[in-house]
Amino acid sequence: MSLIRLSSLLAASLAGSLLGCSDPVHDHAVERLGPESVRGTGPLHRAGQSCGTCHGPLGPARQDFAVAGTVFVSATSWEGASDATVDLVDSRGSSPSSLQPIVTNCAGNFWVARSDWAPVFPVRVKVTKNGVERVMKTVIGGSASCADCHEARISNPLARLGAVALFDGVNTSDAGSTSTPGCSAGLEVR
Amino acid sequence: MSSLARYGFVAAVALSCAAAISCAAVPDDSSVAKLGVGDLDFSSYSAFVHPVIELRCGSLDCHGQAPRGLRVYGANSLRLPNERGDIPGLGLTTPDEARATYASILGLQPEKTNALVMTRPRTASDAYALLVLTKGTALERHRGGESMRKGDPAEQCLLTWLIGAANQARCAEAVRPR
Repeated sequence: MSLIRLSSLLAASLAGSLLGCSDPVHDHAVERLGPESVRGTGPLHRAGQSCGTCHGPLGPARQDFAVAGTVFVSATSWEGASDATVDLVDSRGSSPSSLQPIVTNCAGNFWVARSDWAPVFPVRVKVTKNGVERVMKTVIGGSASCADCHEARISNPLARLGAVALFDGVNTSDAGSTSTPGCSAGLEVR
Repeated sequence: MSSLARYGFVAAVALSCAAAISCAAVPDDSSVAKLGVGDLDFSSYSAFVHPVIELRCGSLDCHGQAPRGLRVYGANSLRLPNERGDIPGLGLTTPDEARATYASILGLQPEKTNALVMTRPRTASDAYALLVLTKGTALERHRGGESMRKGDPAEQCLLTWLIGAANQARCAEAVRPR
């Protein structure tokens, strides 16, 4: 066998073994999210799910999020709270809002791309809309997704919290409109 | 000795051994389980240090979850099973939750913690043999990064407790809202 042929075989085998390397835990986490809904991929998809599972360094989504999540109007309607402002401040005092405000979309989804902001955890977070303010009691210790701790369907009530519901316990007549006309997206947790 | 007798002898010995092994002593239900390491001061841990650990280390995405080697229990962390309906973010940290966290800290490195406890007097460098400090300050690789810095109130609170007496003022400073 010529040296060139042998080298080609070795290169092909190396490439094959590299491609075959995957993280089964991560693969399982992605699989558990289930298939894409009829809404398809995009900024409104998978409200309430763990964004960082796919939008992390291991993919499969292309964009890597530093922090992302969903803000709901309430834990009963599961309507996305659009146009809510999310303030994030990391341990150095750095904030992505210094570049542009982080505002939720129609589904209540928000995200900060890691290319725009690479926080040094822990991170403090506050959500506001129409004068209603929710400050997270504790810090985000290192997770990229709100849904890693905040679950719409709580799996373990001793270790998990309900989803982020901005207007729960608030007199919404004082808070004005909680939703935005034309926005109909909401919870997509299976 | 014939081969049959030899097999009989071996079988008898094996049976005797099996019987001896299977005969356990009567369980001693009167004994109270103790930590296998020398105690660090629990009362000052509970009163001053635990709030700092809970605040700095106990978020639900860090040590406030069961799969961690160091588990932090508390009102805003992992909750102990309870009948009050307390979930994270609801109610107060209970004495049992402070004790469970204390046990987790001691149990993280029992031998090293014991060695520290037995050292008199203890110095900062003795205490820095423990992961709870080296990981917290990110001197050792720590997924959660630098939860406290050398010299800051949280580190001083934990350090002073480990070496003898918790600095109450520094502990209070560490949990003051920012």
